[in-house]
Amino acid sequence: MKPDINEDLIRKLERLAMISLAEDEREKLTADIRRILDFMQSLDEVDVEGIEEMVSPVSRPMETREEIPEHFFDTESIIKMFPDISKRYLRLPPIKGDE
Amino acid sequence: MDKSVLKKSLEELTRSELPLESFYRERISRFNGEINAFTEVREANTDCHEGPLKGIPFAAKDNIHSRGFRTSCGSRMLKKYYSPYSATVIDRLGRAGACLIGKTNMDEFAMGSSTENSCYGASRNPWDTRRISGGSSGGSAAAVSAGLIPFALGSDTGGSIRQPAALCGIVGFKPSYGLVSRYGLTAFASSLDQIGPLSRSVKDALDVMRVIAGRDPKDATTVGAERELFDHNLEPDLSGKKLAVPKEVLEYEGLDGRVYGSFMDMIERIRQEGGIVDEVSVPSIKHVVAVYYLIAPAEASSNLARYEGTRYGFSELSSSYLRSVGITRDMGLGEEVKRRILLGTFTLSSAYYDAYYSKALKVRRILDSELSALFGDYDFLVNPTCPVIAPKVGEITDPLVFYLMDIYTIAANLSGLPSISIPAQPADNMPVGFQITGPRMKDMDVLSTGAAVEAISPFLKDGIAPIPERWDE
Repeated sequence: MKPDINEDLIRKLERLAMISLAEDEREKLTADIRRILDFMQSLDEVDVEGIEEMVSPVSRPMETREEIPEHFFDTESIIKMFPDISKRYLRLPPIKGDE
Repeated sequence: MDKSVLKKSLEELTRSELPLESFYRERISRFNGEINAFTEVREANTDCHEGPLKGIPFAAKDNIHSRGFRTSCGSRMLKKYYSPYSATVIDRLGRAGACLIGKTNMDEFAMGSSTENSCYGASRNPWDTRRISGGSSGGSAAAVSAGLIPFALGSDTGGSIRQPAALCGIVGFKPSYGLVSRYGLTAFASSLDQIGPLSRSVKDALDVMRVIAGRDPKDATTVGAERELFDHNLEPDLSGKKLAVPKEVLEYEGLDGRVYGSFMDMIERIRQEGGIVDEVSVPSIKHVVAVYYLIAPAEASSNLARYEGTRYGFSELSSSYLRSVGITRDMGLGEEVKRRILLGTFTLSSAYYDAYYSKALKVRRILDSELSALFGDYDFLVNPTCPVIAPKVGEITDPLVFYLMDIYTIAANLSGLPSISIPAQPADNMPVGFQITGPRMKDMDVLSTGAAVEAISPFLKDGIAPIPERWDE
């Protein structure tokens, strides 16, 4: 499982993760991720045939709760945090023009 | 409930006539400039209620929300973010009478082992301010260690409570996964994160656990009716207790000889008290760093998708939405966070999912089975908390070297086990932690044995972790 970690792959990951790295950052992170994944190769020696994934330490099924709308007592404190606002509405940059 | 040592120790500590809160505020204003443990200190947001912790001030790591306080997570992305609500743990401590007076420094989004990844700069180790305080709850550890606050909350995803507690010479406890609500804790890796106390004695940690543990309808992973788990007194007794030391721990080449010496000193003391210590093999321990750094970044890449700068936080608006998000995330997030998001995005991608993420989850299962089998024969697993003493600020720059510092703490997170770090024999005047890990939900046993180890530790004075002379005025 030795993938080729190059800058093209990192560019693809940037698009998926929605992070636009600067050029010098990309170079450094590419090298770092290559080294880190090399280190992960140590798992190659473990035989996982027939082993189930463990996604959580909690083995029982988790209880879900009813989805009931609740009134939040302080919406003003949330609105105050909007980076760009127009008449109490959240303003977003235009979606048009994005691929 | 017996009389709280927390209060008793405070009575002894507080030699001034000032009320507790003023006493600590004064210490913070005097010393925080040198230690950089706090990111914010302000008025408590509620009056102190009647309760078992009435009037006791505390601090919380800056990824735990408290209404009216800033919750920056050590990130430029949230440097101006003020919480509109409080975490369950903050509400519970408030109802028990404790007063939150400040938030503490941390590695950005809890990703790091030194607080050097904080937008506020590194917290300093009170035992030697040229050195790191550990991380990611390094601000909490430094604040408690220097006596700037009686106790603090931290979060532990791969050792982030225990490692800084070890490096700063205090007690750090990570409860079993599911015992403490994560509601209001900024999510990093949801299957590993757990909130816990950093304090100057095991009894203090227990007093805090009695308040913060318990089921919470707002966190589906919390376990029902387990709050009573802590309604017992500590029974510190090592006689006949069976402790296992994995040989993979002692064979690890990165283990500093001085830390090994401190660890073996404690093993000898435990044997003198009648404890039985055996060397065993837990083969998967040598894979925990690889497993953790596949699972945690994968979960983080999903959890941190919310920081895109349109609803709150840092925002760099551009000509279009996607461009804005890309630039905002590049400028708002630090290098380590971006490294982990990209790594997680890679390991979750369909082409590599089986080879990396799924494989890591399977090795996690193998480790969990090995630990379950171990706990069939032994009461506890013990090892040094951290393989090294606190490095100097700026000394380590290689991310892999930092990742390997977590080698002894990660297993407890992967399996959701209770684990505590107790100060042991120091090395070169720097603190060293001794870690005790137990079976799931045996938190009270871990605390009791922690108290027994604390009682024979040469580091503690009168049952309390000492404040370094420099700050003991």
